[in-house]
Order: sequence, then C-alpha cells, then structure tokens
Amino acid sequence: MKQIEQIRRKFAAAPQLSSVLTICGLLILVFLSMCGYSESYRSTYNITNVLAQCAPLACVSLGQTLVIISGGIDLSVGSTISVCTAIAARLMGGDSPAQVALGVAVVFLFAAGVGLVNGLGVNYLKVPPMITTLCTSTILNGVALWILPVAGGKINAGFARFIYKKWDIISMPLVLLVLLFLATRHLLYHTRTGTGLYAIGRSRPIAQSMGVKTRAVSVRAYVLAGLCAGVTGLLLACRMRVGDPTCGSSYGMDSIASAVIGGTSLAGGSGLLSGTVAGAFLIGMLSNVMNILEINQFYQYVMKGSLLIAAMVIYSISGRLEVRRRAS
Amino acid sequence: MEYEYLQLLHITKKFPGVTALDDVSVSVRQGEIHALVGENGAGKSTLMNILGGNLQPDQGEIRLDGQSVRITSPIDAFQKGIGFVHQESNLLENLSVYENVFLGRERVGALGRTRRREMCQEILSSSQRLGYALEPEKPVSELNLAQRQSVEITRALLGKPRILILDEPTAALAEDEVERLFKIVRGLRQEGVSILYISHRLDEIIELADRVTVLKDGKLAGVLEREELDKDKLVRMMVGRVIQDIYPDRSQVQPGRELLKVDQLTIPGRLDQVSFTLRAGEIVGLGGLEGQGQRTVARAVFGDLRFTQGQITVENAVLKSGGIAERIRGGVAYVTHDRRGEGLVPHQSIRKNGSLATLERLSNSIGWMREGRERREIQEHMDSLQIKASSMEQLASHLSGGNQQKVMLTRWLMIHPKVLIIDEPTKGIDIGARMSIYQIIHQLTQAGIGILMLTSDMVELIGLSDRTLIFYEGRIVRELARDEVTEERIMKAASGITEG
Repeated sequence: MKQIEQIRRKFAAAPQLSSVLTICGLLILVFLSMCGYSESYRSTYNITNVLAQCAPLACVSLGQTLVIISGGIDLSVGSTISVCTAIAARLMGGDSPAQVALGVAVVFLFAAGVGLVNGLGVNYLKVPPMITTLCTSTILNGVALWILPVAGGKINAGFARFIYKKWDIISMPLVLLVLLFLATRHLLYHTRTGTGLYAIGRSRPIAQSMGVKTRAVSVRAYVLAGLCAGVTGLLLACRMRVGDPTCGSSYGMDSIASAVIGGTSLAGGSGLLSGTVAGAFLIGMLSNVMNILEINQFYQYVMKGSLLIAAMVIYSISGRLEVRRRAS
Repeated sequence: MEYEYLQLLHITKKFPGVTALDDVSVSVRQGEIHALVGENGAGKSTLMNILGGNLQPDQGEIRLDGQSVRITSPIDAFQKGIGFVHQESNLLENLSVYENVFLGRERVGALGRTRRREMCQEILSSSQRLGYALEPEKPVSELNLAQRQSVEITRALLGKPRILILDEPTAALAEDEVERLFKIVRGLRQEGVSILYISHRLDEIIELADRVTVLKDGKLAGVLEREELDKDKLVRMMVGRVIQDIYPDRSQVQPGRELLKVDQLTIPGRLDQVSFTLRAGEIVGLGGLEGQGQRTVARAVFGDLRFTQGQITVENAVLKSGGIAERIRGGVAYVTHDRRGEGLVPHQSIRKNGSLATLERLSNSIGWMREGRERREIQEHMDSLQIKASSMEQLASHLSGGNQQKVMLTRWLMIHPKVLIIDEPTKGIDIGARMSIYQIIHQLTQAGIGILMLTSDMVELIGLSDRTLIFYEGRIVRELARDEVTEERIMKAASGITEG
C-alpha cells in the first residue's frame, strides 16, 4: 500500500510522467504492430539496429532538454555534430590508439567550447538564445565545410567497430546512451545545478533573488548540450566511418522535437529526461518503420511535423484539463 | 534590549517623477517588534526593498550592529542576517516546497548529490517548532496563500536571521492564521530576533508592536513607543488630514437605473452563487482578503473567464459566457491592477496606448487609422484627466504611476463605457495623484457610469464605495451600505465570521 501511495504522489508531483507513459505505450504499439507485420523486423539483428540507430538523436536531445528546461534553446547542436564528425574524420584515421584518443579529446573540447560560447553569449552579452545559437550554428556550418569540403576522411576501423559492438540485443551506442542518461539524470534531479536549471527556467529574477547563480547555471546547460552533441557526432562518425560536413543538419530541430514530444515545455521550467529519450526513440522508430515500408522520404518530414503538432495539442489540452481539475 | 541593532540613517530614494523616501531614519532595537506604518505610497515598501537589497538608496547609510554596510542584492541581505518575507509570493511554482526553501543553499553530499531527505527532515522539524504543518515534497503550485507564506517564513528563518522583515504578512490570511503568525512572531522576538513588521492594519499593530515608525508621503512622521500607541493618534500621523479631505463627498449621491446585474454566478471552486447589482452613478466596492473571488467576478463580468451557471446582464441584455470584444462593444471596461503586466504597452506612446481598445472605431473600413480623430479624442481625455506629459507621443514607460493610471483610464473611457471595473485604482500611486484619481472616479459617476471597484486598501474601500460587498471563499458574505461600513465589520466578514 505504501508503495502505491508513493507512486501516486510521484505522479501528482510530475504530471508529465503520465505523458511519458503515453509515449512509451505508443512506442510499444508501433513496435508490436511492426513485429506482427514483418518477419524481418522481428529479427534480433534488426531490433538491435533500430535501437542503435535511435541512440545518436537521444544523446543530443538529452543536452537540448537541459537547455530548454533552463528557459533557453540551442539551435546549434546540429552544426556542432557536423563539425565533430569532420574533426573526427580528419584526426582519427590513423592506427595508433594515441591518435584516436587525441581525436576524441579534440572533439569533446571543441563541442564544450561551442557550448561555452553559446552560454557566454546568452548570459553575458545578453543576446537572446535563439539568435546566439543561430549565429554559432551558421558559423559552424562554414567551419565544417572548411575542415572537410565534401564527405570523406577516415575513422580508425577498430575504434568504429568497438563503438558499434553488439551483444545480442544490446549494442555499444545503447550502453553509451544509458550512461549519458544516468549522468544527466543525476545532474538534473540530484544536484544544485539541476534544481537551479528548473528555477531559472521558471523565473530568472526570482531564482536570482533566492541566491541561484543564474548565469553560471545557464552556461553549464549550454556546455552540457555541446558535450551531448559531441557524443552524437562521434557516434555518427563511427557509424559512417567517414566525416560528413552536413550530416548533423537535421539534428537541431529533431532534438527540440524529441524534447517537446517528451513533455518538456518550450517556456522553460518543466520537463523530464525520460520523456525526451522516449520522444527521440519515437521519432527514430517511425523513420525506421517508414524506411522499411519504403515510404517516400517526403512523407517522413510530414510525419515528424504532424507528430510534433499532435504532441503540442495533446499537452496543451491536458494542461488545461489539469488546471481545471485543480480548480475544482 | 535597548541596543539599536539596525540603523537606517537619512535614506533618500527618488524615482522618476516621485520622491519615494525623503531623509528617512529608522532604528530597530535588538529583539523588538518594530512596526512600520503608513498609507499606500508612503514609502514603506521602498524602505524595505532598500533593506532587502532590491533597491539602492540615492543617499543615506545603513548600519548593522554599528557597522556601516552596503546591501547589494537580496542574497547579500540574506547573508548579512536579514530575512525577507514578501507580500506577494516570491516562490517558484514549478519546484517543491523543500526545493524552494533551500534554493541557492542546498545541502549537498558526495558527488554534489543533494540531500533531499535531510532537507525535508529539517523543514519538518522547523515547521513543527513554529506550529504549522508543511509537506516538504509538495509542489508549491498546490499550496494556498497562507501555506506559501509559511514556506517563505521557513526559508527566511533558515538563514538564522537577526532581522526579519514581514511585508503585509496578514493581507492574505484569515483570522486564525493571523493568530498563528502572531505567535510565531512573538516566539522569534523571545529568541532575540528583531522584527520589522509592515502593515496598514492598525489594530494588529497596536496588539503586536513594541515600537512604531510612521511614514507619510515619503517622510518620517514620527516614532511611537508601545505605551503611546493609540489608534486615533496613529491615523492622524499617517494621514495628516481627515479622511473627508481625501475622498470626494458622496453622501448626496442618488444612484439611477440598474446597469449591471449579476445573478447566481457560479464557477466551480472559485465562485459560489454570487449575485449583486450595480446602478448608474454608483460605486460598488468589492472587498475581502486577497483571492476570495473578487477578481474572479470582475474577470467574469469582463468576459475573461467562462462560466456555466448564472447570468450577467448589462442594461437588460444578457451577456454570453466569454468574449472580451463583445463586452467592450456592450460598454463594459476593466482597468487592470497589473499596469505593467497586462495594462500598458510600455514602449508605445500615450496615444497608441490610449486608442488600443477603440481601434475599430478609429479606423476606416480597410483598416487605416483616422489619426486626426484619434489625436483629437486623446487630447480631449488628456486635458480632462490632467495627464502630465510633454505630448501624447511620450512613451508610457516614462510616466509616473498616477499618469500611467490615467492613460489606462483614457483607454477605457474612449469606449464610452456604461460599467467601469477598476481593479486597485491607486496601487503604487502617491497621494496627490490618488486624490486626483478619486476626483475623476467621482466625476465619472456623476456622468452616469456605474463603477465596480476592487481594492485591498481598506481605507479606500470605505472612503469611496457607496455599497461594499465582502467576499469570502467565493461568496458574498456581507453587504454594507455607506452609513454602516466600518473597518471592524469588514475585517470580521472578510475572515468568514458571521455577525449576529
């Protein structure tokens, strides 16, 4: 009985939790109906693949969620991903482990640097997040083409194989995602920075008057978003085994979509990481389903857009119902 | 106990168009309850905001424990041992109670992990000691005003303050909650904490305070020791003039035909069968503690809230549930209490702010503004309301509070209203401008407009209303005519006590 009461309380404290469950239900529905439809879909090989394919989007979306909860937005993660694959392809072609390690280090340093620039621009130069990150994004598009004019370069094959190692249904990208999820989860729910993120997302002046170091907290969110984009960049580079200066372009908007579908409010101050992961998997899985059903690429965009609108409408309605329920 | 722990010396603070504080000195002894009283706009809040680090004084000195200090921010004030319980809740609704209480100074363990259990335990024990029950893990959005205040007090006490500022702490409390607050305040005095208590409820202050500093129009009007406390004396010091001089004489007012009729209006959980009427040339005041349904009624009448039960009639025409545009066409206007938030467009001119509700009438069939007509009408209102500005192109944000309020009135008078709802007519406005606004309201009623007034200022409610309706928990619990209204009767009714 006590446990039931605890669960009930948890739901009352976070109304988004029920929306996360809805999305998970939707995921399972899509998955089961596909399993029923196609013999090849049921295979362990395919399921492992699908899960591994969804991981890069989920990783970058985790960082995006932190930024959105803090009341900002990061449009530059897509370009950061592109540049990261380009850097990786330039530096990680050699056979020596030292070279690979150097490549990984440079990628993360670069990604964190981009986040730092975004954070400083937003918090110290007082440029709105949308504009700051749009500018860095545009600059990074140029940087990516400068490093790698066309898709190419090389990733150390051993490293790439290691990153995509599979054990039955579990794959390395999935493991990395879980680790990243646990780390961001700890940060958001169990540290001062996490509480600070929710606080500044709701109201910066109040948070400041209560002693939250608003600028430092916000900068951290952008740096983490950069780092998450770095992880995604490495995953993509290892999957393609080459660099591609434009491969990240869709990830900026998709990461925002994952967060919103997962119940994070673009107004800031509320959101759950588990919802974001579920949202990313829903987008990834539906894309995969459409590929299998050989549906034109064109419809995939339509699908993504419609999904987003549907999510927004559902949250807006359930939010209003919640208000009414509390009132009465 | 005679040691003056806090001294504010010769503080002066000017805002554009108004001197909020003029050479004010206050000293607070250790372990005393020091009340700060004054009318709205007397400078109490400005003084407290300076002490709380929200504002910097233009001149003057603050001494804590004999040391001259500068209080640069709210968190700086907190670290210097000044706790502040705000009048309007200063909490983050998306966080839980314990997160709000400990925000900015969370207890952390290894790996930066916050110690949730320890924090909750601390809140439980401290709130039990103070005699109220807080659920540390409940989201603040689910708490009522009294509970939110306890959260703020718990938060303020966490810093082991030497001085605790309570800004209008009883404005939103019912009578038993007030008693509990008093007990807490007295307990803190025992522990040697100095309390700065701001209120305009004189009975409370006489019951509670050891010493009273009276402010009037931004200046120090005097300091009274406990044994000198006397209500009449306080009123004289605060007001400096008799009430009759401030408020227009409305004893001869004869209300005309019925303009507005609210019948059995019910919104589940917010309003319960509210019925009243408003006649031409009449001022009906809606009073009570904060958030008891006054504003909900006003919003419903203005079409900003939907209702399913009951009926609102303006001049015998039944109004639909929602729709502000329809109300404006029907001659209902609402002057908001939140000038900055939902009233004025600050970076637009007086002219554009003034014509905002009448764009349809002031434009031709393809949507072009008839600017000549617009200018002429705005100019007329600026003259008749005596708005002080360099021209009608001056930005609204550059006006004083009183003139901003008059711009708001201009906007709504442009629609030629029959029913004018004014929510907090003189919030944050100095005394000169207040008297001018009272005069305007009086003249409007003489022109046959019916006025519904919401105010948290009891003196204003008594001084201006022809009839006063007191709300409690979404119901009208008492109706008082001009000749039977007293502060005591209002307070009793507002706390839900029925009189025999």
